Amino acid sequence: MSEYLLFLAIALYAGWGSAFALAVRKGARLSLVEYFLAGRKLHWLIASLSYSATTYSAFMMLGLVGLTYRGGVGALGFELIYLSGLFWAVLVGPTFWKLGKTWGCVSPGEVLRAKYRSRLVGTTYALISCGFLIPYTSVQLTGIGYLLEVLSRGRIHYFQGVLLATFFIILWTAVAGLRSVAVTDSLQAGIMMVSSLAFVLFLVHRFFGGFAGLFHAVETTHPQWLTVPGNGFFTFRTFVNLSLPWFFFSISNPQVLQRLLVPASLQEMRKTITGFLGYGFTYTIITVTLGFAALILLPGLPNPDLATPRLLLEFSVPSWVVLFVVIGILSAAVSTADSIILTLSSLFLQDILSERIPEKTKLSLAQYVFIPLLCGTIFLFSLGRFNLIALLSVTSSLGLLSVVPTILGVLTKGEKSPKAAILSMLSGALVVLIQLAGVHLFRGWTAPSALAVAFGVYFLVQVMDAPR
Amino acid sequence: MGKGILATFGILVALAYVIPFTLLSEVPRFTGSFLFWIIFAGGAITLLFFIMRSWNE
Repeated sequence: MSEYLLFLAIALYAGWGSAFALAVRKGARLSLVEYFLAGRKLHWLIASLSYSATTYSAFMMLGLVGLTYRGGVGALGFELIYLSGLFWAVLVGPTFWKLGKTWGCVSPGEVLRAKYRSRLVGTTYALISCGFLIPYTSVQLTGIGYLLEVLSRGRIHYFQGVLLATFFIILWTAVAGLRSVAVTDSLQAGIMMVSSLAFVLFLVHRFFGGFAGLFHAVETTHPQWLTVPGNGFFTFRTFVNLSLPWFFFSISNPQVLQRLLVPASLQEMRKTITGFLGYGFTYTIITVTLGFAALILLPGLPNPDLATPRLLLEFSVPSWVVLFVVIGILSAAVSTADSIILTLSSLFLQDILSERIPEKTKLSLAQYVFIPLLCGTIFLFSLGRFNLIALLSVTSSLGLLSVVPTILGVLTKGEKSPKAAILSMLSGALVVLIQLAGVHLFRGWTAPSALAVAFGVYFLVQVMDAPR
Repeated sequence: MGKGILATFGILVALAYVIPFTLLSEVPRFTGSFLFWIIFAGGAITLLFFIMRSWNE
């Protein structure tokens, strides 16, 4: 791939993204609802594409391809179990949406605060979300840094790639909040899908003569990659630990939970989720297929996370496909990061800062202080150059499992105990942190133990604290 | 939401964990776990669609 093409890709990406973000900025700063929820009137197609782009990050074209390369078909199971986990969003969606609309909530923390009648519940939720989402967001920057470094054969340094991505994230998030994020996301989601589809079709037809050829090649040369535990990577415990946090992703991650507050009606929400399910199903199969193709075409890779850029570099992929794949991966990473930044800003403003600050001041704080500050933190974190994109992504979702009982508690009837919610979130997060620090508890069943402790504490304290 | 739908969904997810590690663990073909998980996802999406149809404004 020529440098000219790479710079053209970056220029095109920067140009259209900024043009779209600026085009929708009018009116975005009128209120917090306008800025963070696009006035609760996003068209379902934009909302659906934006939900897809927010959910599917650099993890897919880099991490999931790498995970398939390492462990085989288990990667498909893990990702499709995630998709089925939209069940939780479907379960809590109507309640969250109604509560958000009734009480004028902007952040998911506010819904919890109102339902549990305790500001501390919202604050605890906001702090835990911030703590665990910073590594996940930095992974997006890591992905871009690696991609540009490999594709430019080292001419664009990792540091420069990460800096460039940080700049786009600040610009597109701050300029018009969810409006700019959603429109840039929508276009990015389209590019992610079209580019990955073109890439996989090219590889499969050019090098395997069709899907039957690819399947035959994998079945004959790497049969163990088609079963679990197969080659030993996906033991049952690893599979559970990886997939369980993602099964609850649609409610545990605030940047997707907040999207349940956005639709104008439940009908719009239904269309948004249905659109996302179709998108997710297709995109998952495409990326896993790429992983299998890389397994045959690039045997013995030391870092499977680099399988996609290596495929782009080492095989005669048409220039226009390369251009779109590069823009697609940049898009996936930036669209996830900017949504997280926006959500964390809303959590910070609504659930951590004092309630007495006027709305206009809060908006200025979001644009000029919190968004750049958060991006700076994520930028610094990403300079650590962590190799394990998949592992870091899952680690974040693992920590966020601790908020699941508190969110599901919104659905239950009767008086809710704020103590139960706070202690459940803190104990779940603590169990995860202790295990991530290397202390072996519960024989390595990290995800089930975090979830069990959080649920156990929630029910126990709820029963003890219930009004007599 | 009916308890029947909840139970169906629970069983579906449990099968997604159990079947590939037991019945299909010795089937090294694309018609094994690969196809099973695709069918599972199709079933889960269909079920979610039915649940969402029951939503009232």
